[in-house]
Amino acid sequence: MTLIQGQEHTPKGSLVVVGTGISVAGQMTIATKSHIENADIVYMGIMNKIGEHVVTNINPNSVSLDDLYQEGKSRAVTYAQMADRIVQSVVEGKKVCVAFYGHPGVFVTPSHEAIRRVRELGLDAQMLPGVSAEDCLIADLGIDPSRFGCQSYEATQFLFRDYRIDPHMTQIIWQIGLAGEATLSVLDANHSESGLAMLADILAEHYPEDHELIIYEAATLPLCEPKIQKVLLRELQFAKPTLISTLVVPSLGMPAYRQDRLAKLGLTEQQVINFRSPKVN
Amino acid sequence: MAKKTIVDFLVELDSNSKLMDAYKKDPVGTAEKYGLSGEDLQLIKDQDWDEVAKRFDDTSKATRVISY
Repeated sequence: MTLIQGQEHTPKGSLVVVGTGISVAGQMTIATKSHIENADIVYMGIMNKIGEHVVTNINPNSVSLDDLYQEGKSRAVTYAQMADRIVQSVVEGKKVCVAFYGHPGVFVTPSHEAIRRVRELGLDAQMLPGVSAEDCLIADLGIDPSRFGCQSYEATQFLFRDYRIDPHMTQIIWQIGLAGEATLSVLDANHSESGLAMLADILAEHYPEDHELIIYEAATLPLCEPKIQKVLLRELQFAKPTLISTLVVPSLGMPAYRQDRLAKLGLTEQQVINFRSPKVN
Repeated sequence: MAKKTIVDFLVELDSNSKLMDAYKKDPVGTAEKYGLSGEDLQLIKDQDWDEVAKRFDDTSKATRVISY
């Protein structure tokens, strides 16, 4: 608290949520580094001790949120407590930075929740983008999500809800190591077998059993290569994914042209093909 | 000067492409020249990256979707 012209003045708190990337240091943006450096307090949700070390070196007043995780405790509770802790610091007038690994808005419930609540209080809150696991996947596997279109979803959510697969699109299925795990309270990947078997059955409705899939894990350390394991669809249920494994199901290829839509636009299939692949003399 | 650790080396490798190029050509020599010794240097010699990852990563803290 400071004194301005005889009146007590409580500084207005603010929040910025940043992502440190998937690797330990090199994927942090210049803007992210600056926000970490200039914050009154930095909260960290980083699953890597070296990543925490990097953030703490930039701003010694950095505090891990890891104490809120406990075996048997629902992630829903943990994330609500994270958001509470973050919002409380902003309410106290602090300039708060929260650093999550990866992209802070991808698969991170408390970041969105904290921003929503801080804005509701009329205070400043913003999110900066970071390098996500999906970004690493695209680079490591050489998959352009725009090539065939892409469906991207979390395994358990997909199993529980009535979603539809379009096999012409690339499928990216996250967290297959927890497929079908409903309690949100386990911290290992030993519960995925029945969920994986169900996922394999659903995929088999759309793909041949010898369709080659990829189980992928981004590298977090610069010494390590990304883990890229190829499995056939019929082998999927026996795979041993980890908590950070992602399943990639390559496209069956582009769907046929919709002649009716082309005609409405005054086009023919041949014209579109010619425009797409012009001859160079 | 403070002793260089495997943590310092990993941070530097992740953000210094010149060091990474040198490391790819000569992992142990580059680590030694950087200042690693003892147990930290042994980790580079063993090339047991799963063990290195286990030491620093805690995937049980990977964030999850809770909106299903």
